Amino acid sequence: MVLLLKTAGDHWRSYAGWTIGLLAMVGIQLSVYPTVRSSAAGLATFLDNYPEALKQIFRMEDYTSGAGYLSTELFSMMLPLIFISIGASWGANATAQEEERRTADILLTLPISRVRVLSIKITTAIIAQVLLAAVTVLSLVIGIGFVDLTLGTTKIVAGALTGALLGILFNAVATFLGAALGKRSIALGGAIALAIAGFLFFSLAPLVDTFERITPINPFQWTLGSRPLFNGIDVGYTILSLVVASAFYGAALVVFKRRDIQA
Amino acid sequence: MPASAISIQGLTKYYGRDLGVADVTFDVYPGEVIGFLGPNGAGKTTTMRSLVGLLNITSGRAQILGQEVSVNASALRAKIGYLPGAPALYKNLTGLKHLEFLAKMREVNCTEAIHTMAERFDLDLGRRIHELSKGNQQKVAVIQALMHKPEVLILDEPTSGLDPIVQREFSAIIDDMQTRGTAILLSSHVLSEVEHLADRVVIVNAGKQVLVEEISRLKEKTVRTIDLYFAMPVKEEVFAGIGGIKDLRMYGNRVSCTVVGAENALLRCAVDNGLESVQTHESSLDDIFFSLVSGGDTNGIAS
Repeated sequence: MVLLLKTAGDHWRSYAGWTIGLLAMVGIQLSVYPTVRSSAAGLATFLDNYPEALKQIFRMEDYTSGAGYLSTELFSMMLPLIFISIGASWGANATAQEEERRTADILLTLPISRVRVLSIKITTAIIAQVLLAAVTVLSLVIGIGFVDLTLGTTKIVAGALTGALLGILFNAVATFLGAALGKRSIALGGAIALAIAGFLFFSLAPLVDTFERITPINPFQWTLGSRPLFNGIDVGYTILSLVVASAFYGAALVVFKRRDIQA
Repeated sequence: MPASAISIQGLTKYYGRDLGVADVTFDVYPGEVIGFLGPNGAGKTTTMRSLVGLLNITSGRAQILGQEVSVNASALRAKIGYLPGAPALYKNLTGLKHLEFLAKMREVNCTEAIHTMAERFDLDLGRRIHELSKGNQQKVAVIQALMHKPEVLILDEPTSGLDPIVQREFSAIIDDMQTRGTAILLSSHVLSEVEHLADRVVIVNAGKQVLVEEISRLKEKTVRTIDLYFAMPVKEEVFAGIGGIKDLRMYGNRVSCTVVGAENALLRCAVDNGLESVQTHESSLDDIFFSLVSGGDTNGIAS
Protein backbone atom coordinates (compact mmCIF):
# COMPACT_ATOMS: atom_id res chain seq x y z
CA MET A 1 0.00 0.00 0.00
CA VAL A 2 2.88 2.38 0.81
CA LEU A 3 4.44 1.95 -2.62
CA LEU A 4 1.05 2.05 -4.32
CA LEU A 5 0.27 5.42 -2.74
CA LYS A 6 3.78 6.67 -3.52
CA THR A 7 3.41 5.64 -7.18
CA ALA A 8 0.00 7.28 -7.41
CA GLY A 9 1.41 10.40 -5.74
CA ASP A 10 4.25 10.56 -8.27
CA HIS A 11 1.73 10.79 -11.10
CA TRP A 12 -1.10 12.78 -9.60
CA ARG A 13 -0.29 16.08 -11.31
CA SER A 14 -0.18 14.66 -14.84
CA TYR A 15 -3.13 12.40 -14.07
CA ALA A 16 -5.16 15.35 -12.86
CA GLY A 17 -4.20 17.23 -16.02
CA TRP A 18 -5.32 14.41 -18.29
CA THR A 19 -8.56 14.04 -16.32
CA ILE A 20 -9.34 17.73 -16.64
CA GLY A 21 -8.58 17.46 -20.35
CA LEU A 22 -10.94 14.51 -20.65
CA LEU A 23 -13.72 16.34 -18.83
CA ALA A 24 -13.21 19.40 -20.99
CA MET A 25 -13.38 17.28 -24.11
CA VAL A 26 -16.55 15.57 -22.96
CA GLY A 27 -18.06 18.95 -22.08
CA ILE A 28 -17.17 20.52 -25.41
CA GLN A 29 -18.43 17.60 -27.48
CA LEU A 30 -21.67 17.37 -25.53
CA SER A 31 -22.25 21.11 -25.82
CA VAL A 32 -22.05 20.82 -29.61
CA TYR A 33 -24.47 17.89 -29.78
CA PRO A 34 -27.74 19.92 -29.64
CA THR A 35 -26.62 21.77 -32.76
CA VAL A 36 -25.78 18.50 -34.48
CA ARG A 37 -29.12 17.01 -33.57
CA SER A 38 -31.09 20.05 -34.68
CA SER A 39 -29.26 19.97 -37.99
CA ALA A 40 -29.68 16.22 -38.36
CA ALA A 41 -31.37 16.27 -41.74
CA GLY A 42 -28.90 18.69 -43.28
CA LEU A 43 -25.93 16.91 -41.74
CA ALA A 44 -27.16 13.54 -42.95
CA THR A 45 -27.31 14.86 -46.50
CA PHE A 46 -23.90 16.46 -46.08
CA LEU A 47 -22.38 13.29 -44.71
CA ASP A 48 -23.95 11.18 -47.41
CA ASN A 49 -21.85 13.19 -49.85
CA TYR A 50 -18.66 12.47 -47.87
CA PRO A 51 -16.25 10.21 -49.72
CA GLU A 52 -16.92 6.62 -48.73
CA ALA A 53 -13.27 6.17 -47.82
CA LEU A 54 -13.40 8.96 -45.24
CA LYS A 55 -16.60 7.61 -43.74
CA GLN A 56 -14.94 4.23 -43.39
CA ILE A 57 -11.72 5.62 -41.92
CA PHE A 58 -13.60 7.60 -39.28
CA ARG A 59 -16.23 4.88 -38.89
CA MET A 60 -18.94 7.51 -39.26
CA GLU A 61 -22.15 5.65 -38.81
CA ASP A 62 -25.48 7.15 -37.87
CA TYR A 63 -23.62 10.32 -36.92
CA THR A 64 -26.55 12.26 -35.57
CA SER A 65 -27.64 9.56 -33.11
CA GLY A 66 -26.22 9.68 -29.58
CA ALA A 67 -24.14 6.55 -30.03
CA GLY A 68 -22.96 7.57 -33.50
CA TYR A 69 -22.03 11.09 -32.43
CA LEU A 70 -20.12 10.09 -29.30
CA SER A 71 -18.52 7.17 -31.09
CA THR A 72 -17.17 9.44 -33.83
CA GLU A 73 -16.26 12.45 -31.74
CA LEU A 74 -14.97 10.86 -28.53
CA PHE A 75 -14.61 7.11 -28.51
CA SER A 76 -13.00 6.51 -31.87
CA MET A 77 -9.87 8.55 -31.18
CA MET A 78 -9.76 11.24 -28.50
CA LEU A 79 -10.64 9.15 -25.45
CA PRO A 80 -8.45 6.20 -26.51
CA LEU A 81 -5.64 8.72 -27.02
CA ILE A 82 -5.92 9.84 -23.40
CA PHE A 83 -6.17 6.31 -22.03
CA ILE A 84 -3.21 5.15 -24.13
CA SER A 85 -1.08 8.19 -23.26
CA ILE A 86 -1.58 7.65 -19.55
CA GLY A 87 -1.06 3.90 -19.86
CA ALA A 88 2.14 4.17 -21.89
CA SER A 89 3.54 6.91 -19.68
CA TRP A 90 2.91 5.04 -16.43
CA GLY A 91 4.30 1.84 -17.96
CA ALA A 92 7.50 3.55 -19.07
CA ASN A 93 7.89 5.14 -15.66
CA ALA A 94 7.23 1.92 -13.72
CA THR A 95 10.80 0.69 -13.60
CA ALA A 96 12.72 2.42 -16.39
CA GLN A 97 12.38 5.86 -14.84
CA GLU A 98 13.50 4.51 -11.46
CA GLU A 99 16.56 3.05 -13.15
CA GLU A 100 17.38 6.12 -15.20
CA ARG A 101 17.04 8.38 -12.18
CA ARG A 102 18.98 5.78 -10.14
CA THR A 103 16.33 5.76 -7.40
CA ALA A 104 16.09 2.03 -8.17
CA ASP A 105 19.36 1.49 -6.29
CA ILE A 106 17.64 2.29 -3.01
CA LEU A 107 14.13 1.07 -3.86
CA LEU A 108 15.29 -2.35 -5.05
CA THR A 109 17.56 -2.94 -2.09
CA LEU A 110 14.65 -2.65 0.34
CA PRO A 111 13.21 -5.87 1.74
CA ILE A 112 10.71 -6.21 -1.07
CA SER A 113 11.17 -8.33 -4.16
CA ARG A 114 11.46 -6.84 -7.62
CA VAL A 115 8.39 -8.83 -8.65
CA ARG A 116 6.37 -7.24 -5.87
CA VAL A 117 7.62 -3.74 -6.71
CA LEU A 118 6.64 -4.14 -10.34
CA SER A 119 3.33 -5.85 -9.47
CA ILE A 120 2.37 -2.90 -7.30
CA LYS A 121 3.27 -0.46 -10.06
CA ILE A 122 1.19 -2.46 -12.55
CA THR A 123 -1.74 -2.57 -10.12
CA THR A 124 -1.55 1.19 -9.64
CA ALA A 125 -1.61 1.74 -13.41
CA ILE A 126 -4.63 -0.53 -13.84
CA ILE A 127 -6.47 1.24 -11.03
CA ALA A 128 -5.69 4.56 -12.71
CA GLN A 129 -7.21 3.32 -15.97
CA VAL A 130 -10.34 2.01 -14.25
CA LEU A 131 -10.77 5.26 -12.33
CA LEU A 132 -10.44 7.25 -15.54
CA ALA A 133 -13.06 5.03 -17.12
CA ALA A 134 -15.30 5.73 -14.12
CA VAL A 135 -14.79 9.47 -14.56
CA THR A 136 -15.67 9.10 -18.23
CA VAL A 137 -18.84 7.20 -17.42
CA LEU A 138 -19.87 9.61 -14.69
CA SER A 139 -19.26 12.71 -16.78
CA LEU A 140 -21.18 11.30 -19.74
CA VAL A 141 -24.08 9.95 -17.70
CA ILE A 142 -24.48 13.34 -16.09
CA GLY A 143 -23.70 15.32 -19.25
CA ILE A 144 -26.04 13.60 -21.70
CA GLY A 145 -29.00 14.51 -19.50
CA PHE A 146 -28.29 18.20 -20.07
CA VAL A 147 -28.15 17.92 -23.86
CA ASP A 148 -30.86 15.34 -24.30
CA LEU A 149 -28.56 12.75 -25.85
CA THR A 150 -29.95 9.26 -25.78
CA LEU A 151 -27.52 6.51 -24.89
CA GLY A 152 -27.85 3.67 -22.37
CA THR A 153 -25.51 3.66 -19.37
CA THR A 154 -24.35 0.12 -20.17
CA LYS A 155 -23.19 1.29 -23.59
CA ILE A 156 -21.33 4.21 -22.03
CA VAL A 157 -19.72 1.81 -19.55
CA ALA A 158 -18.77 -0.47 -22.44
CA GLY A 159 -17.18 2.42 -24.30
CA ALA A 160 -15.25 3.65 -21.27
CA LEU A 161 -14.06 0.16 -20.36
CA THR A 162 -12.91 -0.33 -23.92
CA GLY A 163 -10.81 2.81 -23.60
CA ALA A 164 -9.39 1.56 -20.31
CA LEU A 165 -8.63 -1.77 -21.94
CA LEU A 166 -6.60 -0.02 -24.63
CA GLY A 167 -4.80 1.96 -21.92
CA ILE A 168 -4.01 -1.24 -20.04
CA LEU A 169 -2.78 -2.97 -23.21
CA PHE A 170 -0.30 -0.22 -24.03
CA ASN A 171 0.61 0.14 -20.38
CA ALA A 172 1.57 -3.53 -20.49
CA VAL A 173 3.68 -3.00 -23.61
CA ALA A 174 5.50 0.00 -22.12
CA THR A 175 5.96 -1.79 -18.80
CA PHE A 176 7.50 -4.75 -20.59
CA LEU A 177 9.86 -2.61 -22.68
CA GLY A 178 10.90 -0.60 -19.63
CA ALA A 179 11.44 -3.71 -17.54
CA ALA A 180 13.44 -5.40 -20.28
CA LEU A 181 15.59 -2.49 -21.41
CA GLY A 182 15.63 -0.01 -18.53
CA LYS A 183 15.21 2.91 -20.94
CA ARG A 184 12.19 5.14 -20.41
CA SER A 185 12.37 6.79 -23.82
CA ILE A 186 12.42 3.45 -25.62
CA ALA A 187 9.59 2.09 -23.50
CA LEU A 188 7.41 5.15 -24.05
CA GLY A 189 8.37 5.60 -27.69
CA GLY A 190 7.94 1.91 -28.45
CA ALA A 191 4.47 1.73 -26.92
CA ILE A 192 3.32 4.95 -28.57
CA ALA A 193 4.74 3.88 -31.95
CA LEU A 194 2.89 0.58 -31.68
CA ALA A 195 -0.30 2.41 -30.77
CA ILE A 196 -0.02 4.79 -33.72
CA ALA A 197 0.75 1.94 -36.10
CA GLY A 198 -2.13 -0.09 -34.70
CA PHE A 199 -4.53 2.82 -35.01
CA LEU A 200 -3.47 3.57 -38.58
CA PHE A 201 -3.79 -0.08 -39.60
CA PHE A 202 -7.18 -0.24 -37.91
CA SER A 203 -8.42 2.96 -39.54
CA LEU A 204 -7.17 2.11 -43.01
CA ALA A 205 -8.12 -1.57 -42.83
CA PRO A 206 -11.46 -1.04 -44.66
CA LEU A 207 -9.50 0.45 -47.56
CA VAL A 208 -6.31 -1.62 -47.66
CA ASP A 209 -6.51 -5.39 -48.02
CA THR A 210 -3.13 -5.99 -46.37
CA PHE A 211 -4.21 -4.09 -43.27
CA GLU A 212 -7.55 -5.86 -43.32
CA ARG A 213 -5.78 -9.21 -43.15
CA ILE A 214 -3.89 -8.29 -39.96
CA THR A 215 -6.95 -6.77 -38.30
CA PRO A 216 -7.59 -9.85 -36.13
CA ILE A 217 -4.28 -9.23 -34.33
CA ASN A 218 -4.83 -5.50 -33.94
CA PRO A 219 -5.70 -4.35 -30.38
CA PHE A 220 -7.82 -1.54 -31.81
CA GLN A 221 -9.99 -4.14 -33.55
CA TRP A 222 -10.37 -6.02 -30.23
CA THR A 223 -11.61 -2.83 -28.57
CA LEU A 224 -12.94 -0.14 -30.92
CA GLY A 225 -13.69 -2.65 -33.66
CA SER A 226 -16.52 -4.14 -31.65
CA ARG A 227 -18.28 -0.72 -31.67
CA PRO A 228 -19.01 -0.76 -27.94
CA LEU A 229 -21.41 2.21 -27.99
CA PHE A 230 -23.63 0.26 -30.38
CA ASN A 231 -23.02 -3.33 -29.35
CA GLY A 232 -21.72 -3.23 -25.80
CA ILE A 233 -18.63 -5.16 -24.72
CA ASP A 234 -17.42 -7.98 -26.91
CA VAL A 235 -16.58 -10.63 -24.33
CA GLY A 236 -14.31 -12.66 -26.60
CA TYR A 237 -12.19 -9.71 -27.67
CA THR A 238 -12.12 -8.38 -24.11
CA ILE A 239 -10.78 -11.69 -22.85
CA LEU A 240 -8.25 -11.74 -25.68
CA SER A 241 -7.12 -8.21 -24.77
CA LEU A 242 -6.73 -9.16 -21.12
CA VAL A 243 -4.79 -12.30 -22.01
CA VAL A 244 -2.38 -10.32 -24.21
CA ALA A 245 -1.95 -7.61 -21.55
CA SER A 246 -1.33 -10.31 -18.93
CA ALA A 247 1.27 -11.92 -21.19
CA PHE A 248 3.17 -8.62 -21.49
CA TYR A 249 2.90 -8.02 -17.74
CA GLY A 250 4.08 -11.58 -17.06
CA ALA A 251 7.02 -11.18 -19.42
CA ALA A 252 7.88 -7.88 -17.75
CA LEU A 253 7.94 -9.53 -14.33
CA VAL A 254 10.14 -12.37 -15.58
CA VAL A 255 12.73 -10.17 -17.29
CA PHE A 256 12.80 -7.58 -14.53
CA LYS A 257 13.35 -10.24 -11.89
CA ARG A 258 16.47 -11.52 -13.67
CA ARG A 259 18.04 -8.45 -15.16
CA ASP A 260 21.01 -6.41 -13.94
CA ILE A 261 19.89 -3.00 -12.73
CA GLN A 262 21.89 -0.37 -14.54
CA ALA A 263 23.99 2.00 -12.48
CA MET B 1 36.70 -16.68 14.63
CA PRO B 2 32.95 -16.00 14.32
CA ALA B 3 31.06 -16.87 11.15
CA SER B 4 31.57 -14.23 8.53
CA ALA B 5 28.75 -11.76 7.98
CA ILE B 6 29.78 -11.21 4.38
CA SER B 7 31.55 -13.97 2.49
CA ILE B 8 32.70 -13.45 -1.07
CA GLN B 9 34.38 -16.36 -2.87
CA GLY B 10 35.75 -15.89 -6.37
CA LEU B 11 33.13 -13.31 -7.23
CA THR B 12 33.30 -12.53 -10.94
CA LYS B 13 31.07 -10.22 -12.90
CA TYR B 14 31.13 -9.58 -16.61
CA TYR B 15 28.99 -6.99 -18.39
CA GLY B 16 28.64 -8.80 -21.69
CA ARG B 17 32.27 -9.24 -22.69
CA ASP B 18 33.54 -6.47 -20.43
CA LEU B 19 35.05 -7.45 -17.13
CA GLY B 20 33.53 -5.78 -14.10
CA VAL B 21 35.41 -7.66 -11.44
CA ALA B 22 37.21 -11.00 -11.35
CA ASP B 23 37.80 -13.55 -8.64
CA VAL B 24 37.29 -11.30 -5.62
CA THR B 25 37.53 -13.23 -2.38
CA PHE B 26 37.26 -11.90 1.15
CA ASP B 27 35.15 -12.08 4.30
CA VAL B 28 33.79 -9.43 6.62
CA TYR B 29 33.15 -10.52 10.19
CA PRO B 30 30.62 -9.13 12.67
CA GLY B 31 32.05 -6.04 14.32
CA GLU B 32 34.64 -5.59 11.60
CA VAL B 33 35.09 -2.68 9.21
CA ILE B 34 36.62 -3.44 5.84
CA GLY B 35 37.91 -0.58 3.75
CA PHE B 36 37.31 -1.32 0.10
CA LEU B 37 39.78 0.62 -1.98
CA GLY B 38 40.58 1.04 -5.61
CA PRO B 39 40.67 3.69 -8.31
CA ASN B 40 37.56 4.57 -10.30
CA GLY B 41 36.40 1.61 -12.38
CA ALA B 42 38.36 -0.87 -10.28
CA GLY B 43 35.29 -2.96 -9.46
CA LYS B 44 34.30 -1.73 -5.99
CA THR B 45 30.80 -0.62 -6.94
CA THR B 46 30.26 -3.75 -9.05
CA THR B 47 31.15 -5.91 -6.05
CA MET B 48 28.89 -3.95 -3.73
CA ARG B 49 25.95 -3.90 -6.16
CA SER B 50 26.35 -7.65 -6.61
CA LEU B 51 26.17 -8.11 -2.84
CA VAL B 52 22.85 -6.29 -2.56
CA GLY B 53 21.32 -8.10 -5.53
CA LEU B 54 21.27 -5.27 -8.07
CA LEU B 55 23.61 -7.27 -10.30
CA ASN B 56 23.66 -10.96 -11.09
CA ILE B 57 27.00 -12.57 -10.41
CA THR B 58 28.62 -14.26 -13.42
CA SER B 59 30.46 -16.81 -11.29
CA GLY B 60 31.62 -17.31 -7.72
CA ARG B 61 29.63 -16.99 -4.52
CA ALA B 62 28.42 -14.14 -2.38
CA GLN B 63 26.84 -14.81 0.99
CA ILE B 64 25.49 -12.47 3.62
CA LEU B 65 24.74 -13.81 7.10
CA GLY B 66 25.20 -17.32 5.76
CA GLN B 67 22.69 -16.96 2.91
CA GLU B 68 23.37 -16.73 -0.78
CA VAL B 69 22.51 -13.19 -1.78
CA SER B 70 20.37 -14.42 -4.66
CA VAL B 71 18.22 -16.70 -2.47
CA ASN B 72 15.35 -15.23 -0.47
CA ALA B 73 16.99 -11.91 -1.16
CA SER B 74 14.21 -9.63 0.01
CA ALA B 75 14.17 -11.14 3.52
CA LEU B 76 17.95 -10.89 3.64
CA ARG B 77 17.87 -7.24 2.62
CA ALA B 78 15.92 -6.43 5.79
CA LYS B 79 19.20 -6.99 7.62
CA ILE B 80 21.32 -4.94 5.25
CA GLY B 81 21.89 -1.22 5.04
CA TYR B 82 23.09 -0.08 1.63
CA LEU B 83 24.30 3.29 0.52
CA PRO B 84 24.85 3.50 -3.23
CA GLY B 85 27.64 5.59 -4.67
CA ALA B 86 26.20 8.98 -5.74
CA PRO B 87 22.78 8.03 -4.35
CA ALA B 88 19.64 9.36 -6.04
CA LEU B 89 16.62 10.26 -3.95
CA TYR B 90 13.01 11.16 -4.74
CA LYS B 91 13.41 14.87 -5.39
CA ASN B 92 9.83 15.92 -4.69
CA LEU B 93 9.75 14.52 -1.14
CA THR B 94 11.09 16.22 1.96
CA GLY B 95 13.96 14.50 3.74
CA LEU B 96 11.59 13.34 6.47
CA LYS B 97 8.93 12.05 4.06
CA HIS B 98 11.61 10.24 2.10
CA LEU B 99 13.02 8.52 5.16
CA GLU B 100 9.53 7.72 6.48
CA PHE B 101 8.62 6.19 3.12
CA LEU B 102 11.68 3.93 3.25
CA ALA B 103 11.03 3.04 6.90
CA LYS B 104 7.43 2.07 6.06
CA MET B 105 8.68 -0.02 3.17
CA ARG B 106 10.98 -1.77 5.64
CA GLU B 107 8.08 -2.07 8.09
CA VAL B 108 10.31 -0.74 10.84
CA ASN B 109 9.72 2.23 13.11
CA CYS B 110 12.79 4.39 12.59
CA THR B 111 11.39 7.70 13.81
CA GLU B 112 13.77 8.08 16.72
CA ALA B 113 16.83 7.00 14.73
CA ILE B 114 15.93 9.39 11.91
CA HIS B 115 15.62 12.40 14.18
CA THR B 116 18.68 11.50 16.25
CA MET B 117 20.92 11.14 13.21
CA ALA B 118 19.47 14.21 11.53
CA GLU B 119 20.38 16.18 14.64
CA ARG B 120 23.88 14.76 14.71
CA PHE B 121 24.32 15.58 11.02
CA ASP B 122 22.70 19.01 11.39
CA LEU B 123 20.17 18.14 8.69
CA ASP B 124 16.92 20.02 8.10
CA LEU B 125 14.44 17.21 7.42
CA GLY B 126 11.64 19.57 6.43
CA ARG B 127 13.18 20.64 3.13
CA ARG B 128 12.50 18.92 -0.15
CA ILE B 129 15.32 16.83 -1.57
CA HIS B 130 15.70 19.06 -4.64
CA GLU B 131 16.21 22.04 -2.34
CA LEU B 132 19.06 20.35 -0.48
CA SER B 133 22.74 20.69 -1.33
CA LYS B 134 24.65 17.61 -2.50
CA GLY B 135 26.11 17.20 0.98
CA ASN B 136 22.72 17.36 2.65
CA GLN B 137 21.26 14.88 0.16
CA GLN B 138 24.16 12.60 1.05
CA LYS B 139 23.21 12.92 4.72
CA VAL B 140 19.66 11.74 3.92
CA ALA B 141 21.10 8.83 1.96
CA VAL B 142 23.45 7.90 4.79
CA ILE B 143 20.59 7.99 7.32
CA GLN B 144 18.45 5.68 5.17
CA ALA B 145 21.27 3.14 5.18
CA LEU B 146 21.75 3.26 8.95
CA MET B 147 18.32 4.03 10.43
CA HIS B 148 17.04 0.46 10.73
CA LYS B 149 20.16 -0.69 12.61
CA PRO B 150 21.23 -3.31 10.08
CA GLU B 151 23.49 -6.25 10.85
CA VAL B 152 25.44 -5.65 7.67
CA LEU B 153 26.33 -2.28 6.20
CA ILE B 154 27.50 -1.79 2.65
CA LEU B 155 28.52 1.80 2.05
CA ASP B 156 29.79 3.07 -1.27
CA GLU B 157 31.73 6.26 -0.62
CA PRO B 158 29.63 7.31 2.36
CA THR B 159 31.40 10.57 3.15
CA SER B 160 31.41 11.90 -0.39
CA GLY B 161 30.21 15.50 -0.20
CA LEU B 162 30.12 15.62 3.60
CA ASP B 163 31.94 18.39 5.41
CA PRO B 164 34.68 17.46 7.94
CA ILE B 165 32.41 17.97 10.96
CA VAL B 166 29.76 15.64 9.59
CA GLN B 167 32.47 13.19 8.53
CA ARG B 168 33.57 13.06 12.14
CA GLU B 169 29.99 12.41 13.29
CA PHE B 170 29.71 9.73 10.66
CA SER B 171 32.91 8.10 11.92
CA ALA B 172 31.53 8.14 15.46
CA ILE B 173 28.32 6.43 14.31
CA ILE B 174 30.31 3.81 12.42
CA ASP B 175 32.40 3.21 15.55
CA ASP B 176 29.17 2.71 17.55
CA MET B 177 27.77 0.29 15.01
CA GLN B 178 31.02 -1.62 14.88
CA THR B 179 30.93 -1.93 18.65
CA ARG B 180 27.41 -3.32 18.41
CA GLY B 181 28.67 -6.01 16.05
CA THR B 182 27.66 -4.65 12.67
CA ALA B 183 29.77 -5.91 9.79
CA ILE B 184 30.73 -2.96 7.63
CA LEU B 185 32.10 -2.86 4.12
CA LEU B 186 32.89 0.65 3.01
CA SER B 187 34.56 2.07 -0.02
CA SER B 188 36.12 5.48 0.08
CA HIS B 189 38.57 7.70 -1.70
CA VAL B 190 39.43 9.33 1.61
CA LEU B 191 42.23 7.02 2.60
CA SER B 192 42.88 8.68 5.93
CA GLU B 193 39.25 7.93 6.81
CA VAL B 194 39.66 4.27 5.88
CA GLU B 195 42.88 4.14 7.83
CA HIS B 196 41.01 5.46 10.85
CA LEU B 197 37.84 3.38 10.54
CA ALA B 198 38.84 0.09 8.99
CA ASP B 199 40.36 -3.00 10.53
CA ARG B 200 41.36 -4.44 7.20
CA VAL B 201 41.55 -3.22 3.65
CA VAL B 202 40.73 -4.90 0.38
CA ILE B 203 42.35 -3.24 -2.60
CA VAL B 204 41.13 -3.86 -6.14
CA ASN B 205 42.55 -2.53 -9.35
CA ALA B 206 41.33 -2.99 -12.93
CA GLY B 207 38.78 -5.55 -11.77
CA LYS B 208 41.31 -7.69 -9.94
CA GLN B 209 41.82 -8.07 -6.23
CA VAL B 210 45.30 -6.86 -5.35
CA LEU B 211 45.46 -7.15 -1.60
CA VAL B 212 43.55 -8.13 1.53
CA GLU B 213 45.36 -7.21 4.72
CA GLU B 214 44.89 -5.90 8.23
CA ILE B 215 45.85 -2.26 8.34
CA SER B 216 48.18 -2.76 11.30
CA ARG B 217 50.01 -5.65 9.60
CA LEU B 218 50.08 -3.80 6.34
CA LYS B 219 51.94 -0.98 8.00
CA GLU B 220 54.34 -3.39 9.64
CA LYS B 221 55.08 -4.91 6.30
CA THR B 222 55.47 -1.67 4.47
CA VAL B 223 58.78 -0.11 3.62
CA ARG B 224 59.73 2.79 5.88
CA THR B 225 62.47 5.32 5.32
CA ILE B 226 64.79 5.95 8.28
CA ASP B 227 67.28 8.77 8.66
CA LEU B 228 69.97 8.21 11.28
CA TYR B 229 72.01 11.18 12.57
CA PHE B 230 75.45 10.49 14.07
CA ALA B 231 77.98 12.61 15.98
CA MET B 232 80.52 11.92 13.22
CA PRO B 233 80.56 10.19 9.84
CA VAL B 234 80.25 6.40 9.94
CA LYS B 235 81.35 3.78 7.44
CA GLU B 236 78.90 1.86 5.28
CA GLU B 237 80.43 -1.47 6.33
CA VAL B 238 79.11 -0.93 9.85
CA PHE B 239 75.63 -1.81 8.61
CA ALA B 240 76.64 -4.82 6.56
CA GLY B 241 74.78 -7.96 7.44
CA ILE B 242 71.79 -6.26 9.07
CA GLY B 243 68.62 -7.83 7.65
CA GLY B 244 65.72 -5.88 6.19
CA ILE B 245 67.59 -2.74 5.14
CA LYS B 246 67.83 -1.49 1.58
CA ASP B 247 68.98 1.57 -0.32
CA LEU B 248 71.66 2.48 2.22
CA ARG B 249 72.96 5.98 1.48
CA MET B 250 75.68 7.85 3.33
CA TYR B 251 75.50 11.66 3.64
CA GLY B 252 78.35 12.46 6.02
CA ASN B 253 76.85 12.38 9.51
CA ARG B 254 73.48 11.24 8.16
CA VAL B 255 72.66 7.76 6.99
CA SER B 256 69.44 7.11 5.13
CA CYS B 257 67.95 3.72 4.32
CA THR B 258 64.69 1.89 3.83
CA VAL B 259 63.63 -0.78 6.27
CA VAL B 260 61.18 -3.64 6.02
CA GLY B 261 59.90 -5.11 9.28
CA ALA B 262 61.46 -4.44 12.71
CA GLU B 263 64.31 -1.99 12.86
CA ASN B 264 65.73 -3.14 16.24
CA ALA B 265 68.98 -4.56 14.82
CA LEU B 266 69.61 -1.41 12.80
CA LEU B 267 69.02 0.88 15.79
CA ARG B 268 71.20 -1.24 18.10
CA CYS B 269 74.03 -1.03 15.59
CA ALA B 270 73.50 2.71 15.16
CA VAL B 271 73.57 3.31 18.93
CA ASP B 272 76.84 1.37 19.17
CA ASN B 273 78.27 3.74 16.55
CA GLY B 274 77.30 7.03 18.16
CA LEU B 275 73.68 7.62 17.08
CA GLU B 276 72.41 11.06 18.11
CA SER B 277 68.91 11.11 16.67
CA VAL B 278 66.60 9.18 14.39
CA GLN B 279 63.76 10.15 12.07
CA THR B 280 61.28 7.60 10.68
CA HIS B 281 59.01 8.21 7.71
CA GLU B 282 56.03 5.85 7.99
CA SER B 283 54.18 4.87 4.85
CA SER B 284 50.61 6.02 5.00
CA LEU B 285 47.74 4.10 3.48
CA ASP B 286 47.96 6.63 0.67
CA ASP B 287 51.53 5.56 -0.12
CA ILE B 288 50.57 1.90 -0.04
CA PHE B 289 47.48 2.44 -2.15
CA PHE B 290 49.29 4.47 -4.77
CA SER B 291 52.18 2.03 -4.98
CA LEU B 292 49.72 -0.85 -5.46
CA VAL B 293 47.44 0.71 -8.01
CA SER B 294 50.12 2.45 -10.00
CA GLY B 295 52.51 -0.50 -10.06
CA GLY B 296 49.81 -3.11 -10.19
CA ASP B 297 51.83 -5.25 -7.82
CA THR B 298 52.88 -5.12 -4.21
CA ASN B 299 55.73 -2.68 -4.67
CA GLY B 300 56.46 -1.02 -1.41
CA ILE B 301 55.10 -3.90 0.60
CA ALA B 302 57.20 -6.76 1.85
CA SER B 303 55.90 -10.11 0.78
